[in-house]
Amino acid sequence: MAATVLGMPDEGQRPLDPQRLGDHVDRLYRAALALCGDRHDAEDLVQETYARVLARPRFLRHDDDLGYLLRVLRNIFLNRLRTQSRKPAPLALDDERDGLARPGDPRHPEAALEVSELLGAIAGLPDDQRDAVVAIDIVGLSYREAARALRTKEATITTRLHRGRARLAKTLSATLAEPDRDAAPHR
Amino acid sequence: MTDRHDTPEPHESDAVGRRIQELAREVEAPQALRMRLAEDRRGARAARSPRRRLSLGAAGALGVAAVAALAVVLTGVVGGSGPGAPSVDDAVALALAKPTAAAPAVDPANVQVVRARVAGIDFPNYEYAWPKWKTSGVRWDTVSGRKATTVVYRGPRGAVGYTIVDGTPLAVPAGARHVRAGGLDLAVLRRDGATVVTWRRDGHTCVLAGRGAGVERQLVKFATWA
Repeated sequence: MAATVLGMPDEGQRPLDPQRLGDHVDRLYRAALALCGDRHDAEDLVQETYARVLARPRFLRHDDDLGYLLRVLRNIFLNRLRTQSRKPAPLALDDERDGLARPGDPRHPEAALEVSELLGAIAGLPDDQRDAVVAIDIVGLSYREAARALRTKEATITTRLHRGRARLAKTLSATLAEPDRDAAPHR
Repeated sequence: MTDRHDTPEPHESDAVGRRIQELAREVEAPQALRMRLAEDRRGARAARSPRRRLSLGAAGALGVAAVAALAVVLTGVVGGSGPGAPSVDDAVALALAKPTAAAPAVDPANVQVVRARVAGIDFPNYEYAWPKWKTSGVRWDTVSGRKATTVVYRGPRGAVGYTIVDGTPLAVPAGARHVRAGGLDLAVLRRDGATVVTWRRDGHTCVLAGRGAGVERQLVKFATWA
């Protein structure tokens, strides 16, 4: 367990280095998008995560900064949901704001739409499946790291992940069909 | 069908996972978020300052009222209402005028703005948030001795001009309707058949104007995003 305590570190613990947090921004932002399905909320969620982590020294037992950050982000997200008593909103903010395409974005508009659909679909998964997909497929944690971050067993994570993927495959059959080329390499 | 039956074969699941990972890797955190996080990290050792965007939404009624009251006072004291000073109407005329140069490029260092600036204020790249709104041109003018830059955007509601006048803020015309949005005090008015939204940013007057039907809502979105 990646125990995190305040104050002085116990044996085997190390401080979280604030200067390295920037390395994880993209992955956390993806996770936030997949959790809340809204761009502005995702930015706020990531920023609040960093603010909370930076508020005082943190000590981790294992080298899983990303897993720890994901857990904090998820907890903040869940707290917000409880506070707001609402389900995740659809991805689009308004009718003129669509996809993720923007200048400088190397992707085709179709790809942006696919990503948008995917993240929206993940946000709509049952909570346990969504968390597993976010941890492993979106953030890129290993099964072990994901189990640690979500405080459950690897076998449970595996089952939830496969069910989540299956549900996504049904929902987004065209988007998730592998492109007609060599399969993308594993991370 | 039960959940057990929903569990796919491992190879099918892996293929779906690879595709999800491939698509997800296309998403990058916005530059503005990176900058805010960098500021937070720099300030981590000192007393933390309020987060920029959240602070707008979190501003209490008292704070908003104080800002509004201050704005009213400033309008009377330093508002450009004296002889020879430019007016909001002057800025509106520029915002509704045709651009004289090609659209400024997107700033590669921050794709949420374009390469046009007045007094340290960058003009937004609305296309970043609203892909149908493109930057179509720019013009540079001098009004009563003050520099004024206008960037014109074009989108589903027609052309919208965004003018920023350098120097002290301009007096808000009497009769303007005030709208509070995104932590800003926006003055909304009609001029020559156009809808105008004006507000102050960093001590300068910003004016957005467009003639399209139903453009007010978009102007308010633009103003609060900028």
